[in-house]
Amino acid sequence: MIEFFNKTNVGFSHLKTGKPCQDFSVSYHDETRTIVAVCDGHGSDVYIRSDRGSKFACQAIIDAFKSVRSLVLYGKPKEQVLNKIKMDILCRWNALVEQDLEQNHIGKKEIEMLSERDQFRLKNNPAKAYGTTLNGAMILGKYLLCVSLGDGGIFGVKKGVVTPILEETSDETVANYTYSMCSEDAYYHIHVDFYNIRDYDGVFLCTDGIINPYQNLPNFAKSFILPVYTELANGKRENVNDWIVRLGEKTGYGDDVSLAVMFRTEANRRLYQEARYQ
Amino acid sequence: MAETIQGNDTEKPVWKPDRMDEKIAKQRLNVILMVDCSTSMRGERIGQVNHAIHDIKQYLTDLQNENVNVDFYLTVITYSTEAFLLNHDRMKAVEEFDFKDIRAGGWSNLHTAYLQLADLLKKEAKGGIMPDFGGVAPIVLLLTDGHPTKWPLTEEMEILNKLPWFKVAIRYGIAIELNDGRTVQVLRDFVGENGDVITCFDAKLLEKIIKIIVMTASKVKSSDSTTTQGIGQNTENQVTNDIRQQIQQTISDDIDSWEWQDD
Repeated sequence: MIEFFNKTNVGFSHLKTGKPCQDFSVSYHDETRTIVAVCDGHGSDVYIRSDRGSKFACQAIIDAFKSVRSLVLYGKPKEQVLNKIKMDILCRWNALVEQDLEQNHIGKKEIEMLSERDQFRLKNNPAKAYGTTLNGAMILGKYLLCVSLGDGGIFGVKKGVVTPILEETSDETVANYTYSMCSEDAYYHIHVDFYNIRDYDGVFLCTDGIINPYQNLPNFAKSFILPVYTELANGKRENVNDWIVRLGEKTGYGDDVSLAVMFRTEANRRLYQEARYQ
Repeated sequence: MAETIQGNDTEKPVWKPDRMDEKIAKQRLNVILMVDCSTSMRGERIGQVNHAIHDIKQYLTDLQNENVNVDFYLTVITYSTEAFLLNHDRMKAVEEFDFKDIRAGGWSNLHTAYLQLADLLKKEAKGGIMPDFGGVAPIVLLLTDGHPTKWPLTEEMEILNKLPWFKVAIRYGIAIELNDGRTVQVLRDFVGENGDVITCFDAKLLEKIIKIIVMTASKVKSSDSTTTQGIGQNTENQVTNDIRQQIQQTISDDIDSWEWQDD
């Protein structure tokens, strides 16, 4: 059996400046599959609709993953399958953005506060207003399918061991710089892959608002992922919920925070329940 | 292969929010000074640099006490015949930074300082000093009064330009009493589009100029260290404009006082 959890909370710097929450997270479950996604709309001034961009990215992941049949993952050459999923997500996100732009043109009022340079950038490429990262995962049959673009990350847990999944190897996403769905070369920065679900007890998806305050993987694994996993395995969802709120509004870096988790209950409940009481 | 992390037997995950808060660090803002200590820097020049670093330490400590967003860390790379990390510290929390005056003497092997910098500007997981996740673009200041012994520095610049943390760093160069286009070009290559080269025509102004650059950049970056994300250069532009204005002001103040004294 699969359990899942997702939570997004606004960060304190956005509360202070009156900006909307630019993160979005979502979960979907039916009799065949469980899907979770977290997306982080960019915070710089030019990304005036990034709150919608992150919502559209979550929607694109859900719709694209729902259209994947498990047989597809066996059948054709792996690369061909992964490229198709990648293209599908990108096209769906672009379609949602175009639809929104048609229905709600970017008006003068919306951009009057921007610098001339940013106004020019938006006129050249209105989709830039929706800039966002994306991270998504689906459990379908024996497969775990993951997609990632930009910062934030996906982490697998197996018997208390935390491993990054689809880790960005280029190292380009340092400081506040990240790849974006609104970039012309977004296709080349979307990573997609699938794994055997038996290799993981659970999967964590986080935006950078959650990860960055921990600064490195050892600290993040021990001080966030494993305690949160233990609480979820013990059914203490409200504790995790409260922690995410606290991280966003008080203790983090002021950025919006999003977490989504999926885990298999039969394999590890006992392990993480025992961990709690030692 | 991806790194894996395992909770060990003595550190079982526990749910204690107060203890979990302790594991959250403030953002780190690294200030890296690259100081030419070749023989030509002896005397007033190195004296001005030493005064400036003393004051910077105090200023950053005070700024940190006022600022909840960041902790400042200082690194000083000195280079002459070889490049060294001052006190062997790859980085040091500013309040713990124990500064002893730098002495000058030797060649001007700037390329060794570039390689030392390249070692630092990597993620911690890869042996550098920068955080693995997130982080604030560091401030790097290079100052020199003469032509580098090894030239050109094409290979070393290629190494630096491949490092993402170097690409995002706010970089400044100070040319001290130089009338040498080639060296100014070396500094221009170093700062690229992420900063400025300041020519200091009078060593007496050196201390002020170093302080203006480090203090202004630190102040702007530390107040802007929260959540702005995407692909843009607003902060860098603001730093550059602020520094240019202040340096012009300092130089004109100095000229005014000089004219006044002559009168």
